[in-house]
Amino acid sequence: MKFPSAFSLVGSPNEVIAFCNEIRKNAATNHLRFDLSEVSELTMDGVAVFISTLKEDEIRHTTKIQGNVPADSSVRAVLESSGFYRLVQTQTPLGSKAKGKIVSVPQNSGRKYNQEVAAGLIDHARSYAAFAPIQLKRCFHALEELMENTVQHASKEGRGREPWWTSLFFDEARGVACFTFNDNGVGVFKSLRFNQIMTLYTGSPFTDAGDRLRKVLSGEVRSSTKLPWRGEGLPAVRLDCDRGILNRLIVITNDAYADVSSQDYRALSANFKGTFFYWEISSQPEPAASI
Amino acid sequence: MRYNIATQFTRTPGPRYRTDDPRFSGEAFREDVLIPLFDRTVADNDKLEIDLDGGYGYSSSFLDEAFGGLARKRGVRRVLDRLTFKSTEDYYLANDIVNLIKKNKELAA
Repeated sequence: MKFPSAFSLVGSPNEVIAFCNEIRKNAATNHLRFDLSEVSELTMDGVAVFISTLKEDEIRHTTKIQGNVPADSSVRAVLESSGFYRLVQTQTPLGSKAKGKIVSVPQNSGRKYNQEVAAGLIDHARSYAAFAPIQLKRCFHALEELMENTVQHASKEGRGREPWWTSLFFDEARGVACFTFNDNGVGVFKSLRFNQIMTLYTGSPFTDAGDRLRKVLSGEVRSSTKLPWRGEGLPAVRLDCDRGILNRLIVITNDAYADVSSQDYRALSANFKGTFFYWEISSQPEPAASI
Repeated sequence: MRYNIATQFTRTPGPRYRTDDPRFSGEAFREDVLIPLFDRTVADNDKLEIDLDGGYGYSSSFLDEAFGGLARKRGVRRVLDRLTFKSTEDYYLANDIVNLIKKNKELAA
């Protein structure tokens, strides 16, 4: 399978989602061989979603996977420093200057709430650069909200059945820590009873996908528990973006895309299996040395 | 009376319910720590300052189950009269918690 030239979920969502869906389709009947030689753009969010797709139960237990590396050295460097090679068996030597961390959680704990994983990522971010305490605390907050959301809503088979993935990459050139969190579950719109709730609040379940996602993130569509104090999690993450603590918050679920910072909510042509979050925090300038 | 969650309970508070984390959930904090502390504060006609600094952070679910849950059990007015919140590291947090507590008052109205 030939990789899309631009492999960035955030930047080219339709192409990356379609490619991941094609992986699932091909893995049902074939072993997989990936050609990355002509990839000209590769981002950490793309790597994170790719590895989470390969590790799905239906694929990792039955499919042999092989692949080459990008010919472009700068693109290859992204892959090598992403932490990808720690999660696959490879003959490629591991670089010592990994800037990324894709969290590989044990099979059981990665389906459950695990705040130690979130704390580990925060420590990892702190090891790269100085961030304001409120930035790191709100990243921990976001990771916890998303874990809880996945544990409670992502699987059709019940609570805590869907694996989740989270990653961190430090973009040295921009001085920015980039976080991702995703599960490959049912997605927000296909979670149980969403359409009934949507009908209750809006009168119609058939609105534009981008607008539906905007309503979820703004808190207009609330929790399926019917408890009025529930359902604050995703709106709270959005609020931290509105406050400027988290930057460039991107949310992708099912056929909807949201770039919260720029108020860009739209429908996608490809259907993302699950829910994906991306955000950044900018490091603080080093204090001037005292003389 | 003062209570620092990071040093006296945990630096990594967890989810809402004990079913997801028996030790460090909002429910565990409310039942094992907060309600006994609050009741003692009332009995002593004292105030309780909750210091939120020092840990990794808090999920909305933890905060709501702990402090919103306390308000649902002991009453919004009584809780707001007795509790104050301190957070120098996260300057939105104290106000966010007060709003979570007040939300229960709106629901009751």
